[in-house]
Amino acid sequence: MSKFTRTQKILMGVIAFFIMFGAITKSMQNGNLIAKLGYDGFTMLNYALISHPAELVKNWMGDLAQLWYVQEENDELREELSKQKKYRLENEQLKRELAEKNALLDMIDRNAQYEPISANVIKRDADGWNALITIDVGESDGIQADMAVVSADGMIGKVQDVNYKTSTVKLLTSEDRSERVSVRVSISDTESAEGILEYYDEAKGLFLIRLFTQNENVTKGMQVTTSGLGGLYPSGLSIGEIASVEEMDNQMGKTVFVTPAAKFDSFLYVAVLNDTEAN
Amino acid sequence: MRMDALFIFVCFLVDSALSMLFPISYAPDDFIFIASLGFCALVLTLRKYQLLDAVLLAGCFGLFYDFFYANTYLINFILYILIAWLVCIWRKHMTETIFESIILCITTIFVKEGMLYCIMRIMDQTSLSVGEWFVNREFLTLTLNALMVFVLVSMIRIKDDYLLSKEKRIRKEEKIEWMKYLSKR
Repeated sequence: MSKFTRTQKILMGVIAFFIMFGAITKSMQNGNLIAKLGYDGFTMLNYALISHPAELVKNWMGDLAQLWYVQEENDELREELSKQKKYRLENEQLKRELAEKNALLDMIDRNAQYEPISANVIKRDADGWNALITIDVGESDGIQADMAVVSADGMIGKVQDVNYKTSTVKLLTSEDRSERVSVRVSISDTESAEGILEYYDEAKGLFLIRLFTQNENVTKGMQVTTSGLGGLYPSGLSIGEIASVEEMDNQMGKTVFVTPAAKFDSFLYVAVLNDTEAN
Repeated sequence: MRMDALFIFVCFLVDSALSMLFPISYAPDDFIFIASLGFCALVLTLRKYQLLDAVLLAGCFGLFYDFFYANTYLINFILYILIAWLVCIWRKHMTETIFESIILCITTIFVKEGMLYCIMRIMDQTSLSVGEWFVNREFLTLTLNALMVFVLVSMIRIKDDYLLSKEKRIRKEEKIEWMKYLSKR
């Protein structure tokens, strides 16, 4: 009677076969052939039947768990997106303000002799759009009536009323023609023409200036500044650029239309010039 | 034995799935978990067998692990046979309670991994210190495998109950056949 059962004989045979075959192939070439073939085949089968499905299930469970957060994330992103337009507009506004402030600083540097006082425009009357603005400096800041007020681009008007902390400024575009501005047209370095800023033509959007001279050299594109004559405004403040020249009928002199240097439709930051001689 | 071998084989496949869910990190300081459900199933099954059957079964699965998992030659074959021999010695002093099953599984995993670590150190294939080996590799492996043994013992009991009920059915049919034979006489 055999010492071993049938199952034991089968197992022993299998073990012996694999050990011998492995030993032979290992001695014949680098590595174990059975191990290589078996490992490759089993690994691929294992991956295809076990590992890959397990990974798919794991990813699916992960995605399912993530769904709970997707709604929350969507809401946050939607809110961010709705704010993005607002941020863009705010950014553009801030850029404009920054550019205006930088230009005003340059202007202040150019007119440092007049001890400019910076101010913010805090009110504009919607009805009298071209008449009055209110700035946030007043008597406590050294403001006095009739001081010239400039923006970054040029002169805009003069101080009309002074309160303790605020002041009102009458713009050059006002319809009030009681106080006129003496101006000078720079023809060349040695030649200029004097005149008076009569009024602001709303229809054309231009200043009308009457020159006291028939000088033929006054042409389009020349710069117009305050002359300082009359004692109201300091000299050298930019008024604008000549847009067109007209002869006056039956009168001496010329009429020029000047494009304002300052933009009267929108400015936030101004400077009040303290010209003690003019005041 | 066939059902036992099939059950152990399925547990090894579950190990493959677990290794996909808990992939091993090769960074030296990371903790790793080595799923040993198949090995635990083998150890818990070997308790029932005589020495020769246990050694042969363990040898087969050692060869299987060598060729199809570890891509080595005879290392796991020898280790599994040694473990089978140890289990056959210890089984005389053990019962089949869950607590003792957990202790047996943890101990055999530790012994197997320890012997493997010694072989790797002798062959100069690792420079891990004993402390690092225990903390980074063994701690998590032993802890989580101990938890899985709970499930494994339940599955083994279900399998044994199924086999027992199947055997009872066969015996009952044999008894009926024998009664019919007797009645014809």
